[in-house]
Amino acid sequence: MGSFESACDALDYAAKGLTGINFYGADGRLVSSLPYKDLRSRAVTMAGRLAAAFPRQSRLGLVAETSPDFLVAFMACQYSGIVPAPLSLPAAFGGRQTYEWQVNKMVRRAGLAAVLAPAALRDILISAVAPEGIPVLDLSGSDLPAESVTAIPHQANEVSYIQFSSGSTSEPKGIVATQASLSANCRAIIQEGLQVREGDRAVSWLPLYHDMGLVGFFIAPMYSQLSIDLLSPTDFARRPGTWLKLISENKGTLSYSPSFGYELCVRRHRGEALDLSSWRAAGIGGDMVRNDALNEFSETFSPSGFNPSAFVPSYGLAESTLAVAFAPLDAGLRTDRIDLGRMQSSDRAVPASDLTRDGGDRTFVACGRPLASMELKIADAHGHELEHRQVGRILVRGPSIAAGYFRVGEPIQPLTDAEGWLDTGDLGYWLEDEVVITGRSKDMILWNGRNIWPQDIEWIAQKAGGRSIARSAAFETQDDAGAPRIVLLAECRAREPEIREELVRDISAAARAATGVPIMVELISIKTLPVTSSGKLSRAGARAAYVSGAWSDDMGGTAGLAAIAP
Amino acid sequence: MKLDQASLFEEISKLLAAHSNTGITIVPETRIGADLEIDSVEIFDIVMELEDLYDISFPIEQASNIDTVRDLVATIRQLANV
Repeated sequence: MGSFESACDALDYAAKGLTGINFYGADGRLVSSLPYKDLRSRAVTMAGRLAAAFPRQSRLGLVAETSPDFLVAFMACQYSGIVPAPLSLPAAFGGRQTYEWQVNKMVRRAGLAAVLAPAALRDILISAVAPEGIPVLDLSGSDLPAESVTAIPHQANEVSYIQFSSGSTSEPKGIVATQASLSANCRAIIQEGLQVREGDRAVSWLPLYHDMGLVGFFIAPMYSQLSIDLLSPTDFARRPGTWLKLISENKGTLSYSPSFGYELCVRRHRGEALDLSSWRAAGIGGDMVRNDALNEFSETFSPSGFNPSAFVPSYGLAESTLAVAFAPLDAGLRTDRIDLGRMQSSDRAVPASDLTRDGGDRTFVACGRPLASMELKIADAHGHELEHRQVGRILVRGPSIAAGYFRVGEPIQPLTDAEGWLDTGDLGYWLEDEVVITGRSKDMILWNGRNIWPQDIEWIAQKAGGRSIARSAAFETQDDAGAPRIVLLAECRAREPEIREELVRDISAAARAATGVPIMVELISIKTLPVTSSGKLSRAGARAAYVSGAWSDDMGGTAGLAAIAP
Repeated sequence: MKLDQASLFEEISKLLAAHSNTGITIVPETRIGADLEIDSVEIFDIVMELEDLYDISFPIEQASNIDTVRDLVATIRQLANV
């Protein structure tokens, strides 16, 4: 099952059956259905018009709302040799400006020929792409020129789509997924990771502009002719219970979420009657797998038939299409409680013992074994492979790795070294045959399942603080209670307490407006942030110095700071 | 539902204040995300409460345009026809 050479081959086959995709509203009512048969015929029709309007290999931005129109447009691109780049949707309350800026960056980076957007977002997109002067067309394709030509689908050796990494908005990266990398990853997910079988049914609220939603819960199920029940991410965030209701009512068997999605369900649970006994693979991916949140979910929903051994912690990244490792099925969470202090000082994950200081332990969840087609190694800074329980950089190699980063007018920038290894930017260690992820080495901040890039926060500080701010460094740390906290250290030229107070307020507000997360701003003296040997800002160095109290004098003198800190 | 602008503002301010740790006084110009320091997950709690309270549904294009409390009140009035 699942062995196709391209997305079009997979849909051609799925269209022969009766399965397809259902779309639900926030209240769990069925809004529309799109059998694979209809998806194919609509996509083929639209492909003819796309091929007439745009040269082969053109890039088109598709606003990835959870709707039949988006899936049709995405597949129409596959059938016409055009490269779709799914785009995100704006966030509620003050998100418009940041969104327009972000879309504009992607348009320029990928050299998009046009953007296709649902009618409701048309005006926002027009304003976002105005400087580039490219057309904004309806996502349904209704306003494409009427002329149609015979479309030639993407072949097995061609590209499939551009996935913008959920990463930095100031430096978005367009990852080029090929038909080969996509097909290899789908096959591995279907045959090995989830071992898809007859009677499976996929349910998802994951955004279709992320790899986990697009590949995991649209393309891979399509490769295995599974029916999919979709709920939009905004409807999920409003009514997380609807996700569980869909699994319960449709006897869903496969569904994924980052840890925070499980957490949200617990928080909003009002005792609705559910039957979750059909759910055989409750996957966790997209952020650090958090044991506590998942245990709470098990406790809350075991009475509704949820089986804790259904949990499938997984590891992956968009650069490897989606999946790299899966925990064994039917095994539940495998945890490892280690001594955090010893890990930080020695890079060894030593099990916590009586000697571990109070609160100095941390429980990690193992993310399983690499897929058979993927090699995974954990290495030190010099590339030497590490032993069991030694923390190092995670490198992966195999056919699922994407072709590279795309930037219009430049050759594709490969993701791997000469030997084919991709440095994932993640840190981890081997727990026997399973990999444990301990964090990100590339400074990325994870917040409620979202990736926040420090350079975005620093850029905002620069903008909001103007001349008064020299360099700055953002990173994630923990407060005394162990809760995550994002800190921005900003070198400040101003001395007057009132001005400094105002700066802290302005930067905090601007950073929060742009990222949607609380950020604690600390002003420090100029030229005190550590730099690397090549003169680059060292965020890891800044964090280490901050934790050890390097700037406590500066901070004691920052009027108003305590009132601003969350 | 009959609600004039002032009482709607008051009701919404109360709801927002319950989600904010800043303790600042809410005025029409207060920015919901930036000034009240409400994070994006909590925003959804608020959207849900408002939708239930006024029996409305926020279309995404309108929600992304809302920045201040005044914008929010105006949008709710428009959506609920109050």
